[in-house]
Amino acid sequence: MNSQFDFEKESKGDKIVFKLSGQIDEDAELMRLDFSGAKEIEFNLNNVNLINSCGIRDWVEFQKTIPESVKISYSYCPQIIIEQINIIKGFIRPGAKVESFYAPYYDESKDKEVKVLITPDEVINQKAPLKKSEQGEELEFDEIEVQYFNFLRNNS
Amino acid sequence: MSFSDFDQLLSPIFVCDKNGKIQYYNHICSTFFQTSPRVLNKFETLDELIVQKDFSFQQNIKKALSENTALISPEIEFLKQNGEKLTVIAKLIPLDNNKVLVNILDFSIEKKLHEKYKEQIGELKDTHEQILKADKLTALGEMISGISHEISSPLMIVSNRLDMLRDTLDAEKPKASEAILNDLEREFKRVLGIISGMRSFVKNQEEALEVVNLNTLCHDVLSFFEDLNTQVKISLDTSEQSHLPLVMGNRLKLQQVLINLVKNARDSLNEIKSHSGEIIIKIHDLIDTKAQCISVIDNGKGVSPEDASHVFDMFFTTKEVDAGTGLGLSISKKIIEAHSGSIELAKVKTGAKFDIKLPLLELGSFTMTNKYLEGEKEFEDDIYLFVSDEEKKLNDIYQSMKDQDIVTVLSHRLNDYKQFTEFMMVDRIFILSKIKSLEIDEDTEDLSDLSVDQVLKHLGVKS
Repeated sequence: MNSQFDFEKESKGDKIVFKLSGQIDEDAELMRLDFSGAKEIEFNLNNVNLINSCGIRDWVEFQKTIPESVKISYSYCPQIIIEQINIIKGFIRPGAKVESFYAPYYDESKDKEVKVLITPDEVINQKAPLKKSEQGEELEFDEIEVQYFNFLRNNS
Repeated sequence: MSFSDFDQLLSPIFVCDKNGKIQYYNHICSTFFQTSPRVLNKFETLDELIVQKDFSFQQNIKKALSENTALISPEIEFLKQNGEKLTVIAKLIPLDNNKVLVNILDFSIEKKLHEKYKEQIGELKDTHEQILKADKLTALGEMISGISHEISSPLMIVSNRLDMLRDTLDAEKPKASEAILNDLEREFKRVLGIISGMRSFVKNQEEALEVVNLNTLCHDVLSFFEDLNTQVKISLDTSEQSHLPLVMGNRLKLQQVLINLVKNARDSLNEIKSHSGEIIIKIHDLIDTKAQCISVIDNGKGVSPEDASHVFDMFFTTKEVDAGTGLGLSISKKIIEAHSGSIELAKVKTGAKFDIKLPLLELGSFTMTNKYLEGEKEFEDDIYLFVSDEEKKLNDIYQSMKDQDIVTVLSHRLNDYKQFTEFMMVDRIFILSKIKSLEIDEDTEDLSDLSVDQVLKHLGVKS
């Protein structure tokens, strides 16, 4: 299969960090992610650039194979992942935490979309945190806040 | 119900006015199109989002409203901001106040998977073809090895006789010279025959179908192994034949199957170093099941129950590494199944027995010339039955009739052909050999005095 999915594995004591990259689709062999012995897993999703419905199904099934005793967190979640977390029940395991994620902003002065890495505690009452460009211009949040931040209501 | 209720739905919904202007879209649309609401707001109509020019949302919205009926679009493609295309269909549902709800159903993934599936099936077919070619090359290699052996011995004789001829000519002994010349001629003919056989194997006749006499075919296989000087006794048993065993098939492929089976049996016997090793090829007909059966039986070590269910699996072999590819039986199975037949490993107390069942000549010719059964035609053509006990005549008829819009049934059962006429719903019967007390009716013509060319001319078919 021509999978464009890949990953790097870093072990830090009992914790494993999987840095996933590429496409999570029908060809992504998620079972290659060997988490044996881990008490904590962090999925760094920074370089995931596509996930389709087949990949979502496999992703949900894969996470079911991780024992409940293993703590899971997700970091650097791109917008495509946040959108799926908001739609798909089970995309992240109940009790697992999104540590950081990208939010879409619009830089009007440059007419450019920018993705800004934020943490859940920056979002209060489902309102996007204030962000500024390098030039100090205020950025405009470029999504529907109530929808985009919906997942945070259940974020542990 | 307010439009904002649609924000809870997971499928994209647009509401457009009677002119096709977008009035509302639900929250999921920005996820679906991977476009921010800020950008989506810039589009006035759905037509600005689609790739095709042969479908118009504006026109169809007007149509749905004027006819007050829901419409479904053909397959259309939406262009995402990142350049990707989404394949969707849309349902247009008229609402009150001259508005139309447009519900989008995405099946891009299904389409991509379908394309990928077709591509992979194509790759599998190519691989399968390559495997078949590889097996043919293996068989060719073995034949060439045998042929080299065959050629070398007559050439040695020729060489020897040439020396002798020189001596006898010198001695002016004309009678002895003539005998030696006869020897030379015979051996040269033998070499020519071998070369000719080799050519016919290499020649691309992979798909050619013909009337095959299984007795002749098995004799050819026997002589092939005899020439290899194998220590195992190989014989042909035709004692249970009620008719000449004719079938429709590809001679070379059927030969390949038999060589595979006999070679396996021989290897099995060689492995146990049996001094009483024996292989019997038995040909008999199973008239009840309308099949011709070839059994290859050996008294070797047999197949273990664990292996029995795997013998036809690709790459399965019990031979040592480099001794077998594990392809022979799986390819044999494919070949026999392509002849609408079957090949099975029979349960026997000692040794091994493989049974090949092929359709009787009548059934084989019926199915191979029936374009309706092949799905090439909607209705079945007329069905003609040709009866002759001459193998060549039947084959010539088949080769001339196979491209005609006529289902051609061949039978060599002069006194027994009628058993096929009713269930095959034969329209016309042509008798091509002399039959004693032949009953002629309105469907039957006696053409036994005509040559094949004359028969074809009689039927209006170019030979």
